[in-house]
Amino acid sequence: MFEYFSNFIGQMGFWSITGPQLIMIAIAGLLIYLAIVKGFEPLLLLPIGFGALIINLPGNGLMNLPVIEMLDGHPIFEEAGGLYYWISKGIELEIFPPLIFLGIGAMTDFGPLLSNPKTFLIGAAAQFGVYIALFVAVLLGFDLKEASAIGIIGGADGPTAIYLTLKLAPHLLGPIAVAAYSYMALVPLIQPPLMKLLTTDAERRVVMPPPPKASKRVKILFPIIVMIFGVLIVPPAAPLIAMLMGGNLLKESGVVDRLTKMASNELINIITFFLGTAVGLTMTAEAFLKLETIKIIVLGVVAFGFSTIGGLLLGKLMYKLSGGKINPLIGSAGVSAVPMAARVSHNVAQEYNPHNYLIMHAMGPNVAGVVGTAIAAGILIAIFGT
Amino acid sequence: MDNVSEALLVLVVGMGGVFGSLIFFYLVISLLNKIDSYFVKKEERIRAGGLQESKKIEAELEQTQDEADDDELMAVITAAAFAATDKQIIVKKIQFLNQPTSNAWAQAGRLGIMASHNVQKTN
Repeated sequence: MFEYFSNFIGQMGFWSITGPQLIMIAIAGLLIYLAIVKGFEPLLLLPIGFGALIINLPGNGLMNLPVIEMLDGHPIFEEAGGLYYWISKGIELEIFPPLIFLGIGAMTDFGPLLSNPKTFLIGAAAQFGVYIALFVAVLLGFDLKEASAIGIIGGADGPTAIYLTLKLAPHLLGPIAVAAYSYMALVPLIQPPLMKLLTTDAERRVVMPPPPKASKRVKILFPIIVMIFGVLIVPPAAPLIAMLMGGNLLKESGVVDRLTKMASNELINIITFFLGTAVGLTMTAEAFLKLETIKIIVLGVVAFGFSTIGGLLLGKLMYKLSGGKINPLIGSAGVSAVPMAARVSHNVAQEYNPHNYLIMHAMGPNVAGVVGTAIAAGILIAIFGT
Repeated sequence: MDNVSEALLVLVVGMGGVFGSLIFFYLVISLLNKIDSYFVKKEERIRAGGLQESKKIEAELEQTQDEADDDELMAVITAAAFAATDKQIIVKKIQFLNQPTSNAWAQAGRLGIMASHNVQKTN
C-alpha cells in the first residue's frame, strides 16, 4: 500500500516544476487576466494564455510525440502522441492561419474600399512600420529572417504574422504572436496620440461625403481579380490571399449562404481556438524567457507606431492633393486591425466634430491594409524564404 | 553586403513592391468601376425605355378594355344595385379606386366581408 501511495505522490508534477515554468505560468495568468478583465483581444489571448498554461505544467504528456513503427513498410502507431501535439501541427503545417483568413474573407465587406479605391494606397503606406521595425531589429542584432518576422507585427494582422513567422523564424512564434495580438488590442491607446500629433485641427474636422455604393458585380469580381493577380504577383502569399478572397467570394456570390455562415461562424470559431491554443503551446519557458522576447515586445510598438505614421502621412498627402476633401485621420486605419483601427479613426474625428461619420471611409484603408500586409508578408517570404 | 545595408534594401524593395501591387489593384478596380458604371447606365436606359414602352402599351390596353368593358360593367353594376335596393337606378359614373392601399384597414375590412361570403367547396 505504501508503494502505491508513494508512486501516486511521486508522479505528481509538483516535484518537477521549475522556476522558469512558474514564471511562465504567471505570464499565462497575465494573458488570461488581460483577456478576461481588460478585454484585450479575448478571442485570441484567452486561448493563447490557456495553451501557455498547459504547456508549462510538467508531466502532462499532452505534447508527447507519437511513437510509430514500420511493419512491412506500413507505419503502425505504437503510441498516438499527446492531444496538443496534434493541435500544434495545425500551425506547424501552416493550416490554421489560411483557414482563419477564409473566415475573415467571409466576414469582410470590401465595399468601402471598392467605392473609393484610392484608399488602397493608404493600405500600402501603412506597411511602412513593417520595414522600419525590420531595419531596427537588424540593428538590435536579429538576423534578417527574424527581423522580417518581427517587422510584420506592424501589419497588425495576427494570422499573417503567425504565417510569416512560421516560414522565417518559427522559434520566435510565441513572443511575436503575443506582441501582435496585444498591440492589436492596444490600437485605441497607441494610435490617437500619433493621430493628434500629425494632423491639424482643421484636417481632423474634414467631413467626407457618404461614399457611393459599390455594385454587386464589382463586389463579385473583386475577390476573383485580387486572387488571380495577388497570387501571380506574390506566390508565397497564395495561401493567405487565396483563402481571404475565397471567403469573400462565398459572401459576395450570395448563392452559398450556408458555406458563408460556416466560414464566418463555425469554422473561424473552431480554428481561432485551436490557433490560439497552438500559439500558446509554443510558449515554453526555454523559448519565451529570453532577452529577445523583451526586444520583440519593444519592436512591436515601433512597428505599430511607424505603420500608423505611414498611413497618416499618406492621408495628409491625399488631403492636400484632394484640396482638403479627404480627412487624413483615415490614414491610421491603414493598419489591418479590422475594424478596430477604423473605429479609432471615427472616434477621434468625432471628438472634433460630433457630426462627422468617418467609419465607412476608414473601412476602405482598413481592409486594404489586410491585403497590403498579406502582400508585404509574401514579398518577405519571396526574399528570405528560400 | 552587411545585414544593415541589406535591411535598407529590403525596406526599399518591400515598400516598392507593396505600393506597386496596391497601385495596380487601385487601377484595376478603378477601371472595373468605370466599366461597371457604363453597364449600370446602359441597364438603366434600357429599363427606362422598357418602362416607357410598357406604360404606353398598358395605356393603350386600358383604353381598349375600357371601351369594350364599360357597357358590360355598367350593366352588371346597375343590375347589382337594382337587386340590392329594389329601386330603378341609373348608373352615371363608375369611379375606380386607384389607391387601394390608401386605407389599408378599410380594404382589409372589405376583403374580410367578401371572404365571408365566399362559396365554400364541399367535397
